[in-house]
Amino acid sequence: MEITPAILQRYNSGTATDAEVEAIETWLTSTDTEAYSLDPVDLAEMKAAVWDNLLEQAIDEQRSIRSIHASRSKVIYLPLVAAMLLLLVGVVVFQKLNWTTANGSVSEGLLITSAQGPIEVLGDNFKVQFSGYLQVVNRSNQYKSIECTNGEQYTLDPGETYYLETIDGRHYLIAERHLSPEDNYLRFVKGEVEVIAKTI
Amino acid sequence: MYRLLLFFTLCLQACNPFGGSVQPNDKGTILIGTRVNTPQGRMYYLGAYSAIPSQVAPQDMTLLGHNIAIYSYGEHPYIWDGTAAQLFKYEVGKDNEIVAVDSIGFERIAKSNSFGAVAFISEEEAYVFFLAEGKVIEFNPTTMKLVKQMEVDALPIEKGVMVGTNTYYAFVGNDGKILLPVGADPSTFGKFSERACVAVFDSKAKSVRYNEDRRMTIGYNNFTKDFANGDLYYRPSKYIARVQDYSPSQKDAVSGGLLRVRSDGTYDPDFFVDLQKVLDAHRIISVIAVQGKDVLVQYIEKDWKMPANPGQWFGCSTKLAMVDVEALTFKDITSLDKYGTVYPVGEVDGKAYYSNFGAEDGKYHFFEQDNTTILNTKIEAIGGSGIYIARLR
Repeated sequence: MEITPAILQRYNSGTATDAEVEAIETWLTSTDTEAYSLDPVDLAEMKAAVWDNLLEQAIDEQRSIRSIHASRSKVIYLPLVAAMLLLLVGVVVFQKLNWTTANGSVSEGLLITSAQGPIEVLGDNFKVQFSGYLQVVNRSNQYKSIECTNGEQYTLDPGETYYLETIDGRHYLIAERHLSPEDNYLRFVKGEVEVIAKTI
Repeated sequence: MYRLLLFFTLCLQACNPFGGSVQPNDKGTILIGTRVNTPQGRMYYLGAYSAIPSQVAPQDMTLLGHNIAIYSYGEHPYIWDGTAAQLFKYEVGKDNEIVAVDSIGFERIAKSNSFGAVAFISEEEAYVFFLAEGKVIEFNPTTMKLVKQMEVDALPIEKGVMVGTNTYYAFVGNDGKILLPVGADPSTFGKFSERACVAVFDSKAKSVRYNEDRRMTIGYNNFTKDFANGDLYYRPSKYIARVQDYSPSQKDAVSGGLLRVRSDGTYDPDFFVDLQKVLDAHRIISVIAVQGKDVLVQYIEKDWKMPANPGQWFGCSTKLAMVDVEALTFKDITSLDKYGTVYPVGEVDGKAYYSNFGAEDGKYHFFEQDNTTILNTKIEAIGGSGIYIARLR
């Protein structure tokens, strides 16, 4: 599988498929650049950005402390030259890709979290069938629309987080900006969701 | 050149699988948590500082994730990660770097979504509560090892009540007792309990009892503390106020009151104030601060027009008032209006701290309470709201 920036973004955000995760983790410890069509310097830049993201999001990767150390231990087997290559492109990585934790990377879709976990869907208009209480994050720079199967339609502002709730069989949308920040509403997410993209 | 050197340091850390070892910080570090707006959604950040800073920004803090709860005890922050169902122990180094050093998981013992709260008794004794399942787990915070798993009386289920409950917060009281207000699940909508309830865990007897008071309904995040004398109060919750607005059968239930909770977890029978009546309000949103007889209350005015869409209820217009709970009088407070909604986030050196969201200028602050209920801006939080502040010992 070819490693692309889109796949790396999904890996960093925890929404990559199992096959993508396996491919990326193999690539992270590989020095073979012939299998990839991207420029080797670009590959090194992306690799450095992923490692920095792992360092800062160690807990959010849902791994134990021991397994993170086990993953990291692979790096010590990289030749020192490879480590210096990461160092040399480091500044370029931060400036070019702007993958800092504060700014994050902007994707094009929605991140919808149910009891089954998060899924990222690309597109502009969606129809969802769900029960319970979902979190929906519009991670793009555009407005998106969401239609519930009971007929309710909502517009999602760029960069905003919402909660879709179910009351007496109808669905309502709550903007997170109106909720108390000291509460973590993700802990209350429940139910299942099926997403149907209308247009892409 | 500085950024190259900084990145070189990070790379060396990345290459060292044992980079988690740091020199412990013994300066009584200030720990600050914020929730920052990012393109990937709101994320929680944690920073450590040698003194109260004038500003906190995410680029100087540690990213925790988006499904977490922050605790601290002794010299260490502890972070509950709801996605991993693990409690992580952190260490703050002498340069205020925050590093995860250990963890304990409960995924084989209890369901992550029934996690309630964590309470620390000592360096060797702490508890995690899953009372919806009737489970309490004792662990040793020094070793991060499981000590004991206890089966206790589960949260009582009231017949006909549809809104689920859990204990989301814990307060360590006297004599080894841990007080946990029973809260309504904010994501459920329906008939709610019309009884206030506190779970009291006796860490010596390893048992739980539930104390109820029928003068007021259940809520969420119900405890507030008078930092001047340590008194605990059971306060209203906007989540129940909202459900109540769309539940005609419960529209007259007393959700806007204030009860006092004694150190043994029982309610003071001689204290109750119906704040909604005193203010002649539509609903009470929250009690923000208490100091003696003065209570700072956020409320919705009586003539507010309720939206047909319950999802829009949280955008309601509110006011602040200082209520004298002895004289049962009040005066409107406008000095904090420009900050939007204000809420408590912790305590440092005996002074209560608060944060805000929804300010007119879009800015976020930490406020320090002085000897009255006056809140003074103390720290600017860049990128998002403050959610936690404490001093490590």
